[in-house]
Amino acid sequence: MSKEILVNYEKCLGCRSCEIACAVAHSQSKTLVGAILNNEKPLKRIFVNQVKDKKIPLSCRHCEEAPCIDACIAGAMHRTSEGIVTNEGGMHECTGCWMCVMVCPYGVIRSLSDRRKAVKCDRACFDETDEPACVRACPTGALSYVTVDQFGESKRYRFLFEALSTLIR
Amino acid sequence: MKIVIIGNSAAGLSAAETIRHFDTNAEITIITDEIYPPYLRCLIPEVLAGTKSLSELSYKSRDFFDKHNITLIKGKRANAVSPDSKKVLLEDGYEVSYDRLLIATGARPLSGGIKNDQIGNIFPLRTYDQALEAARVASSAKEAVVIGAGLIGLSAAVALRRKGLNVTVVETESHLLISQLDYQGAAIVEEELSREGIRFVFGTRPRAFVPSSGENLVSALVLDNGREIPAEVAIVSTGVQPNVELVENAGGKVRTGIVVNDLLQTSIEDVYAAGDCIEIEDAASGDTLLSGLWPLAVEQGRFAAYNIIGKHRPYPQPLVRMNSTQFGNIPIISLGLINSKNSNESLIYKDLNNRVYRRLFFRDNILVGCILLGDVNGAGVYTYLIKRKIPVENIKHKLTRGITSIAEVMKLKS
Repeated sequence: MSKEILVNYEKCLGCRSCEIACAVAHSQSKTLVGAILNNEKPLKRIFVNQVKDKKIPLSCRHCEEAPCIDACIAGAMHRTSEGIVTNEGGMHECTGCWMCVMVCPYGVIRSLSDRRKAVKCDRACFDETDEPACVRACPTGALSYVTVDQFGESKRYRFLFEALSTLIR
Repeated sequence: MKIVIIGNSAAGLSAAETIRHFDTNAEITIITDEIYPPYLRCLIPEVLAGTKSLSELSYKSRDFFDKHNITLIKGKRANAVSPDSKKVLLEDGYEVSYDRLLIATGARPLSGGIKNDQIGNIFPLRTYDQALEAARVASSAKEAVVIGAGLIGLSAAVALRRKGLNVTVVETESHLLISQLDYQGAAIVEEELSREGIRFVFGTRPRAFVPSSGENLVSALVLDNGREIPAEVAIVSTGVQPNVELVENAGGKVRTGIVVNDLLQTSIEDVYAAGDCIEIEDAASGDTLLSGLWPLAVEQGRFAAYNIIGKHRPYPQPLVRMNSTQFGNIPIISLGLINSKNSNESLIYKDLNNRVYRRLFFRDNILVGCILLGDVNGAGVYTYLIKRKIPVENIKHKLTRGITSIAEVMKLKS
């Protein structure tokens, strides 16, 4: 069973550590200071949203029937053998047509219109701990990287996974 | 089970892949009248521009058909379907029998009905061949005219301009992208394209092509208002018509497109259809529209496949009117119903310095359509809201300002 990033939104403080860690992990220098000194604006692929009194971090769910893969007219968006949905390293380069941005119900694919490139969570942020950068950076344990059935049914209701996975059906 | 697919593009291939994924024993045959490996049709303006070759448009690996154990019959037109004997008749007299048949024949360009359009160097832009031939002619030309300021027409204009030609776009309607944008949105895009040197003529009908003296090649286009535009190459992009004939001639139900039920079955037993050749009910309007979009074709191919192999999965009503693109530095997404006829409220956000323009259309607090220009981030949330007809009374203004997320509409238990 594949691992997913799960969100316990009750624990999220909205500190945005995940956003910074994600952006830095995808920068060339891999450090915040380095990225700033390189005049590089690191790009996050996880987004903390405020809804009333709750903070909801959202990133790509790597859907089983991913609308973004169906929608890609450029042959870029694909699923890797590890199950990761990405527009990096596919048959062709992303051309920035924004079809994937248009169909992603979570709104977690960014459009870089000046570079004509869509940017999303590609899980290219693991270190030797085998956890994504956003999860490693989360100080409260709101984000965790676990196989889905590691959660007891009684606990699952608190996690966004359920709310999210019902969305695209 | 013998499964035959007519059409080797988005819908046909997505169906073939899905069938093979679930059923290792099915005999799959694909019939296509094209001779090329499957290519990304939406990118053929790049062929016209000379910036992409065929191999850069191929989107299946060379061993795709072998690997998936698919028999490919290419360069041959399917002439007829015989539902009684369950056979497809090819143009060379060869017959292919099927247990289940998928029609994924796509669409072809409408002629435009302009006088003298049979003379040389006038092209539609639908296939690789057409794009390649138009590119060849354009390489030694200076003046080009494009008929139709829709998505294909504008892409063609950009491509020709990139080759250094003088390009004039002629559009009968009052502004460009008439199906995707309102007047204000179109003005922003027109300004952007004008800056690249593309010229526009709106509100007048093209009357006739003028042949060159001696050779039977185009030299100009005359408009209804008498104006003559020089043109050594012309691209006609005035819409498409679905390829329905195989089903129609076999006695199947056809209106504008091939009629299918929610399992993507035609009215002929064991014959399915998917992609640009079908008509389908639109989730936003309830209108029956021609499908005509690559992402929908892929999706439909997949659902047709499920049903062909007996998985019984009804195809959820799609949002048919949707499109995305970028011209110059302006990303554009248009969704659903974008006119005041179908809505009773419309909200606008403008930041013209940054060329951001957002217009949302609501009917009784339900988002029915929107134009997103300059900033398309989070567009999929709007698509979702339109498709699911979710009341958005409380977040209307946030949606208009582009500062909302799907989290707003999730049902969170606390």
